[in-house]
Amino acid sequence: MSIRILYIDDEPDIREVAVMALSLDPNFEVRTAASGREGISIAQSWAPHIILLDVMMPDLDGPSVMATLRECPNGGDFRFLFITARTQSHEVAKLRAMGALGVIAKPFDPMTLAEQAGAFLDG
Amino acid sequence: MIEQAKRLRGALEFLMLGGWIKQRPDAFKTAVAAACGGSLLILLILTNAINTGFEDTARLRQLAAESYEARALLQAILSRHQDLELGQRGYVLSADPEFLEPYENASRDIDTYINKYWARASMVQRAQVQALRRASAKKRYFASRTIAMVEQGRKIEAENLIAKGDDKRAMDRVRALVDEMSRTEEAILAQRVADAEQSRIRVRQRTISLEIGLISLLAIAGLIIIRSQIAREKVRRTAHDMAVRQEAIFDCSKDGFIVLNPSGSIESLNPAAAAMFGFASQELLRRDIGLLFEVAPERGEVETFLQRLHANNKPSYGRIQEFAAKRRDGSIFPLEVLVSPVHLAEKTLFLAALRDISDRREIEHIKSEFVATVSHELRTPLTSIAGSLGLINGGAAGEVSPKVGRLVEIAHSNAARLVRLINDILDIEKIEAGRMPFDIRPLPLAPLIAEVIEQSQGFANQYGVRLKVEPIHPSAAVMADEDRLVQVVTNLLSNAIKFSSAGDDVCVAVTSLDRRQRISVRDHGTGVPEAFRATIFDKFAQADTSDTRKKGGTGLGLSIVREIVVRLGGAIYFESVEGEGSVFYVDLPATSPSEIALPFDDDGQAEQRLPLLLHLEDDPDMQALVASAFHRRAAVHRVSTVAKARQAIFDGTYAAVILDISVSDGSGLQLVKLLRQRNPGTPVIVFTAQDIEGGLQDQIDVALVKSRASLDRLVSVVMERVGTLESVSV
Repeated sequence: MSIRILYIDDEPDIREVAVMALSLDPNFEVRTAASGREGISIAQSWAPHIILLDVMMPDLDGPSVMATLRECPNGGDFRFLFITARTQSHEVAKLRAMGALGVIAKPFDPMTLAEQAGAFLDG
Repeated sequence: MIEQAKRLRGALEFLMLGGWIKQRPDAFKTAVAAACGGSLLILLILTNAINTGFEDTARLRQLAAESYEARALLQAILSRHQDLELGQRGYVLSADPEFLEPYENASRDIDTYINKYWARASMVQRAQVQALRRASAKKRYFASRTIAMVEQGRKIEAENLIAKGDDKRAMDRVRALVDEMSRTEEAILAQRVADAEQSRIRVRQRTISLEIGLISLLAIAGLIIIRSQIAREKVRRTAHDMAVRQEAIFDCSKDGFIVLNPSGSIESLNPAAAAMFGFASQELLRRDIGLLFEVAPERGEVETFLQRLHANNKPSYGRIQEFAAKRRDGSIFPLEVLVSPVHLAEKTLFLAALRDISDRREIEHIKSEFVATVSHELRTPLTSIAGSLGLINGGAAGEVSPKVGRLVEIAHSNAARLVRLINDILDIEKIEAGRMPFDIRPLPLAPLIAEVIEQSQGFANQYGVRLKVEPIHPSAAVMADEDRLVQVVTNLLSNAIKFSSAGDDVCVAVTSLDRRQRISVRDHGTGVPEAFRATIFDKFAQADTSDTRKKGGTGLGLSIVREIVVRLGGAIYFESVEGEGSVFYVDLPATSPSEIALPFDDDGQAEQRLPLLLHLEDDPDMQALVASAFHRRAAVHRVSTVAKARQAIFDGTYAAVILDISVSDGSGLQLVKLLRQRNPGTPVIVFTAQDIEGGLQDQIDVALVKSRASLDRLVSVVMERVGTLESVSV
């Protein structure tokens, strides 16, 4: 069974790298969104198993996307992993307190990104 | 600011002591005393001399009077003889008995007068008196003979006897003797007058010389006094100038200065201090300093602080403290304060130098925002670069030719280096700004070292270096922040590996010292060059610029290590022999294993989901107790000052905030308003030994009184609130 994974980031280059990196795992089915709003609509229709999202995005940032999706019907089913360059411990703690599964530091290692994301799904 | 405060303090001491007295030489006093003593002595002698002069004159006057009397007496003797002769002659010529009366009066008086003269005559004069007696007797004998002859009727015979001239000669003799005696008297008087004149001249000369001496002495004394007056005036002017200058500094300084008396009320203040708080200077005089705090210190607290400062000014002197200050309009601002005692002659005052650091705070905040933003902006493109290169390098994009592969490898490793560099710069910026949160708690070293070794294994393998650990006693533990200590040991290991040759060992050991634990990392590599040892911990310091490329370091590793170790209250040293290797030592405060409340495990997953609490508490033991009470239930960010707590509230979001009331730089209650403004929903729990005042009760969720037994209650209350909050927001 393939695992649906949604990657939300406003940087097209990073999206491309991330898609390639995540696709290294043949079990993953990857879709991307270029903004928070696009991500929310894809998430609602596609129901991904896990959402990887950037924290700092114009218009709607990562935490807001998470908060919006949580309020949807079945919102509690979404699982969020943040991908951020801001990895100070209190920032990480803040994201976790908001309900994120975990935080992956940017720049990520493309060869192990799929593995890291998978680890959160198993747990 | 410290310099200025010192200068002002000196000036105050100088002004209020009237320092010039200290500078007068003793010679001045001695000279004045000598002049006074000398003058008095001279005056005494002078008075005595003048007195003697007066006495001499009086005696001379007496002598002159006596001499005049004596000569009058002599003249009386002569005149009685003349009366006698007149009476005798008249009787002889007229035989009239009427002439006998003057004769008889005269002959009766003569002896009386001569005896009178005899009484005061000197020896020489007495000889003359005897001669006079004889001459007088002879004269009186002739006179009585002739008178007797006339009485017997022998008038002619008497006249003849007189005519013979014997009578006249006797009278002449008397006259001659009286003249001689008068001359003698005159001569004696003249002699006496001459003597007196002589002595008068002597007295006058002595008096004049004494007067000259007196005048000289007075002149000298006067000169000395004038000179001292001039010197005094000069000192006064200098003091005045200094006071004016210091006053100008005091008044024109941008920093505020407040002079406090020992009870904590304001003695004086400069315009900057008054302006800082929005008061007019006059309004603050004699007021209590507590008026200017956001939360007024408790009664006697300021006084106790000042007393302590006065009693041992060494440890606290020059220590800058931070307070939340309150303006007249009630607005709060951060204030930096340096209090130093001013020791005056009669009392000790305290000078508080104040600086409004709102701007600095703002700039610090802007700077840290800027660094965070820049690093984020740099990391975004790096994510794409490193990601792409990583994918090619990892073979995800298919086979590439060996040459391309090598180039991609170089590009990839340099992208990785750039990432490390940005991370290191961020780290050092945070540590130096004091914003890296340090979660200091007891840490057992054995599992921590094992973890670091495991993480560094891959890096060691690249260099073909073997990592070894000497057995670590299970009870070895230090007070430190786990993440930071891992960073320290990792950096030291990474250096040791980089400078070792393939096949070398790098060895980690832990040694228990007195109240410290020493972690040592030993390598057998190239060693630290002599010339590099002094700067090894400096930023961007590298022994050899060519090393940078070879070793791929950022040049920040050891300076980060040192900064962290210093913040952890530890110390770092190294020993090195070029060509044989180096050993780096990190000494950290030890803690006994009993302080480790619960064994640490690698339950990372669970801990990552824990709610984050902010705990303001300045007692490290209480901090540790609370943190261990929340173990596995919440992550506790511990801060010990109001300032740090404020910063943390600005920087992060917390599931709940636990506050102590009395901490070193203020009260946790100062934060309640801020918390309510920023995160109205965050539960605020006051955990303290004090009572809560000031009508803040309704803004606080729960207030608990500190005690060991109440820890469980604290945990349950906090977790209950955090739980409610989460279920609401989720």
